[in-house]
Amino acid sequence: MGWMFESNLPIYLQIAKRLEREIVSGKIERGQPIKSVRDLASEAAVNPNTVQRAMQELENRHLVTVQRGGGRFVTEDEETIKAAGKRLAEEGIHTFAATMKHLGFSKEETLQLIEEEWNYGV
Amino acid sequence: MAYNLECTALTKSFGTIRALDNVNLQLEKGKIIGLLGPNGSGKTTLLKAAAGLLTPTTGQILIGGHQPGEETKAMVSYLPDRNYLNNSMKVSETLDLFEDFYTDFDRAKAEAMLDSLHIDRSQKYKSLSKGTKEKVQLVLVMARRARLYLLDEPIGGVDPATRDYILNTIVSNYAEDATVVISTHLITDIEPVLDEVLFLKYGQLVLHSTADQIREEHGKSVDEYFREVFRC
Amino acid sequence: MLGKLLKYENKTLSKTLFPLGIGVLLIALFSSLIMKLNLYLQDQANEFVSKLMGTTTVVLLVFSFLAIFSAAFIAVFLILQRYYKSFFTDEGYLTFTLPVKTHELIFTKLISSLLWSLFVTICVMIAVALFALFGTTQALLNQEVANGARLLLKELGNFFTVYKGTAVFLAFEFLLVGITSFCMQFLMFELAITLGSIVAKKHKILASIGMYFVVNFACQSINSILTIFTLPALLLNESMQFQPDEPQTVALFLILPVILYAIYTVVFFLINRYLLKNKLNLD
Repeated sequence: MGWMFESNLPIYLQIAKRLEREIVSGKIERGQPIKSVRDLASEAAVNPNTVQRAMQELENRHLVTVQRGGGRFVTEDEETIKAAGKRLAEEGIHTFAATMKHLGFSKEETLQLIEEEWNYGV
Repeated sequence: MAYNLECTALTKSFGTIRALDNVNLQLEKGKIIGLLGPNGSGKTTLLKAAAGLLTPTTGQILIGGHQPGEETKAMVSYLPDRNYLNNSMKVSETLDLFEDFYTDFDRAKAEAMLDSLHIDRSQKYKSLSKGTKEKVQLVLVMARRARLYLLDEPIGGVDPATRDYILNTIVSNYAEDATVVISTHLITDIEPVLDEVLFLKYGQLVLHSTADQIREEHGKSVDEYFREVFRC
Repeated sequence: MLGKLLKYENKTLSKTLFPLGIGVLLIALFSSLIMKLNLYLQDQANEFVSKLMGTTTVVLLVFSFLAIFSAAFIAVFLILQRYYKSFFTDEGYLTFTLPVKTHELIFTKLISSLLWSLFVTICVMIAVALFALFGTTQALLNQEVANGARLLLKELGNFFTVYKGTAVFLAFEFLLVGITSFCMQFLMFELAITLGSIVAKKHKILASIGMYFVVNFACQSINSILTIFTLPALLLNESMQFQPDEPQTVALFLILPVILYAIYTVVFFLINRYLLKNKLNLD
């Protein structure tokens, strides 16, 4: 089964985000090679050109580098990864906060819920 | 380098009906293109014209810069939406036939694909189930190193697992000098695989864009945008 | 490419036509043996058995004759069915996307029909010979047939000795007439099928049969017109030496049908090719 995609964002950006997540979370470690465009395309059931664009996007953000041998590797630079992680987190929090405000929760109630979730949730 | 497929004012009429109406398009190599439109919009007619099965009424169609004929048929790998193989032949005999007529046919690849699908090559074609027949046909088409692949509803009548297999095959078969044209109704499934999309309506080309552009410009997936354009 | 097309065409046709030919031979063989047995038993056994054998023999004879007689028609049917199937059913999607020229496709059909018709014809001839030589119920008839055959061969031998060159030429011409008329006939059938399939959306086979009559009628009309105009001219031409019973005359006259059939063959071929190339519309 290929990867699932949302309908409002270009697919290449969604692939880039997914890979970014994997890098930030350490699923793909620093300095490690990334799967080839072909392999990813096959796994995700996505056009190789689209995967290529996603990779380009990651290269632009300096999360991924192309080595002389031709393969792509995750950057060694911890700072870059941390910054990417912060950006993802901020995005997530922004969406979460908007949802909670929309549902009518106060800041205190929200913080309480977060406290409970963090301690006892999955 | 000529386009893999080029249509100039291509019109095909059957009596008073215009199946294709003044179609202009150029398809480049290294692209997978979705041919989308309601039933009767001219998708199959366009594919048949590119396959050399129909002659234009007016206008022109060129494959790799050539008019449809013996030469283009050697470059085009066409998968129609029906069972077109000789029923009395065995699968292995069909492989022989493709190998004999098409120099770009990769027999080893075809056999590997059939094996991975657990299809017995010594079986007669007529004894296979409908789904298996479709898989065999897909294998034959994809095992060729063609310049232009024309797939008419390849994922239409098959189960989800087979659909995945077919999409996977299309993706892994990707070649930089080839163009793949896929005509389908199952847009959501196919969109991630596409570079460009063509919308056909009443034989006319109403849109030629990329999947990304549609998302960026309209904030919708191709499927959603399609529903908007072709609202009944 | 033509060779390859022929290979596959022959392979497919052999699946039905080879058994047909062999079947005809087996029927003839089997019936001949039964009748020989019957002959033998008639002298030996009692009246009841004799009558029984007699009836079965007659039934067998009739059945065998029908089978062998219809073999030719079945062969033609099978060959034309193959033509229709490979061009105008779903299989057409395969046929017409093969990287071959249209005339190669038509040629393949023509050559393979020739070969397999020949095969079935030979089988039928052998079957008839088997019957004539071994299967007839009376020893006397056997002798008559053998005598007749011997006489025929003798006459033929004489004919050739006397007329030498002309005779050979005549024989050759008969062969040509046979070949060209065969080609013309088959191409006419196939053109009719093409026309019928292109013109009709449904009931293509019915339309093809209809088209056959149309084409046939057209040819007959043309033939009549040609005959009316050329024959009197030929007969009244006094500069030619005319002895109607001389082989030379016959030889001369035979050139006409050869040329006519050849022209028809080429015309049918070209029309069919044009239609297949430009007017094909598989559904």
